[in-house]
Amino acid sequence: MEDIYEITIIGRGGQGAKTASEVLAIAALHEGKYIQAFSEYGAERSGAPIVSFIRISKNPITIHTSVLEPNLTVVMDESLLSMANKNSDKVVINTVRSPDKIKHCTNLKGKIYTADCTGISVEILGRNIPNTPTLGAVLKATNLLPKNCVEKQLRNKLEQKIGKKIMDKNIECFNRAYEELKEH
Amino acid sequence: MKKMKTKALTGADAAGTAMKQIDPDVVAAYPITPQTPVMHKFAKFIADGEVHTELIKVESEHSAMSASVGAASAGARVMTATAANGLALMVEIVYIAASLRLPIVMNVVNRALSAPINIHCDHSDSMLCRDSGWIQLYSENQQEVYDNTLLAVRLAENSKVKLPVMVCQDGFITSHEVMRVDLLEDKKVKDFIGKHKPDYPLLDTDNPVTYGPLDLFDYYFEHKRQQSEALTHVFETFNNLSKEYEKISGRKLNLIEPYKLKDAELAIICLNSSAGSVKFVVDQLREWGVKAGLLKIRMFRPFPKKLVVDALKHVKAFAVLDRSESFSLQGGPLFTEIRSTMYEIENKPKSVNYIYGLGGRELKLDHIRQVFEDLGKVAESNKFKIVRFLGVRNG
Amino acid sequence: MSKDKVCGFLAASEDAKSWKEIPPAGLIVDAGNSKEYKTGTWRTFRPLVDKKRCINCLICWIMCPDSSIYVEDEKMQGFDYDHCKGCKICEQVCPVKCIKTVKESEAENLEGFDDKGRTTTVKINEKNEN
Repeated sequence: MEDIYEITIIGRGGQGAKTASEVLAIAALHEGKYIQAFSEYGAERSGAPIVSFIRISKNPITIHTSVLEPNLTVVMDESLLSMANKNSDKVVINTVRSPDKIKHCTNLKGKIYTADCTGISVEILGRNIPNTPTLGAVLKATNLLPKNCVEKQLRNKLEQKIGKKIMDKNIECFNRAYEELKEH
Repeated sequence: MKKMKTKALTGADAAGTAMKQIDPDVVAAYPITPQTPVMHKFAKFIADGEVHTELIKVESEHSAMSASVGAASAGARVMTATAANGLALMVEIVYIAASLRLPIVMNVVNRALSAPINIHCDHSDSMLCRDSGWIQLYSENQQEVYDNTLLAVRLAENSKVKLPVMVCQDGFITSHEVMRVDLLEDKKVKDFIGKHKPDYPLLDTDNPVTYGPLDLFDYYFEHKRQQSEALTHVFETFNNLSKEYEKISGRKLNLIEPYKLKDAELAIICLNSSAGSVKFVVDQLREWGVKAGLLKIRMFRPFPKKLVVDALKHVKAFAVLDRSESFSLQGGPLFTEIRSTMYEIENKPKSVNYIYGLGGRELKLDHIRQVFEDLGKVAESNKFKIVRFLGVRNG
Repeated sequence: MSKDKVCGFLAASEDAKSWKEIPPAGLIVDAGNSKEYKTGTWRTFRPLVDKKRCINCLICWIMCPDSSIYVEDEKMQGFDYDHCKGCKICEQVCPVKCIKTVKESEAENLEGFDDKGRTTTVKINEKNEN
């Protein structure tokens, strides 16, 4: 398991957790890695809790189980903070609160990063789709992948669907969160 | 130089992409979770003008297979896809497709049968069709979905075989999970697949034929005997095609895949994606000095008996993991098959069966470790429970 | 294909072919082979025709469900006894009543008819004419 980097993204249906996990995985693939991205499916409903998983490795991945001990946990909706794995090395949270405050009121052992992704999303896009800013925050926190590579894959994945205008705004969100990330 | 295109695809995308490169004449399908994204992917290729397929949007799976049988009789290369209750609804025509010796290729995205209603993975749907006369291939991951689908077309259309093929993958686990897949160039696939040469196309009006006439006690049995005979040619045909496929892809597809089994004392046998997770645990146990191994079955119908016996005869004990319950109280379908296969040899290994993962219940790594731990005890014991349940509360 | 056992209702006879010799999947690949199945053996009543009175209207040829009326040069030429099942439709539809059916057992003793059931010497259906 040592050579596999595992990520869990916790969000709500409609916030784009699944898309975020796929974009991250595809970007890693383009960096020459073996990847895996999948979500826990129930009866999909907007607003229901959803968990997405990513594995990234130098070697082929054979395992097909959900991630239990992620290296990185991403919480896209603050109300789901209690679902975060407390042993994760790093936790990236979408919240207005500071990392210190989070540390204080949770039992998370890892390093905590926060950014107000919802605020950024509402300000720029006019609605709460926190996945693109969260991806920016994740990249800043982890240096997992080159920023421009993820940006390119975001465009590949979404531009055709949402149009260039909204895509550009999403990239703005992505960059804002990257800049504004707070670290414990 | 082997030119490849590496993409991040779900199992459904992999199946849809293989279908696109095969460019069948006719596809008739009806949507059902988790097969739907296979058809989404493929329908998009049609909408974009990348394939020439006639897509028939039918009103049920029964109609999907009926249209497939009609088109294949006419001489078309036909593909379809379904899952679970959809497969159950089409079963009547599934048997007819095999009995009419029509080389249809169908992607089955394994999902539990109702009731209670459940959309997640188990193998009760494809096991429902295990005696239908179709060839069944199971896929560990997205790459294998792609490879199996391409190979299935050649296997089905082989002049000695002429039988339909089901390519199975685990619902959601494989079908909705994004993984790295190496794709062949379109042209290479086209050359490998070649032209479909149907023996008795209905549209050949110079040589008219009748499909499906009344066939009573004087000849029906003879025709079943022919079907049985056709299946005996499947192994050799598969191996030849596999060699050919290896040349263009660099990947070798085997009827069964033994993993660290040569010197193994304890072995697990399973189908589809679980094999991948078992490989991971085998690697771990090997590091700890446990002689663990895996036997992955790619082809379940027909059953490659000789290979299975050779692969398993030396182990002390093996466990068969069945992702479907046959309710015989004698174990799941894969277990009864393997146990019967091993009956003929002397000094049989001890064997146990685990029913697991029904309705998508996750097979955790701890479960697999538990099985190997149990197997260690079974190997040393003469009295043990044969059919067990894995991952269900209270066992 | 074996001549008369291919779609027979009886158990396969000794000359029935093995699974190695027949087309796959029960396909019938030699078109028109229903001719090889001699349904004439089912017949209880045999049709006969008085060709002296026949007007060659060919209504019998149109109506026969087993295509068992021989026609040459637009003239009715008698019956195909290999396939005629003796349904009596021809007898019913004949406008000049020159077709008559008799029991097979009686037909064997009849004189003045050729192998296609034709006569020009025996007057048939005289009663009906009146």
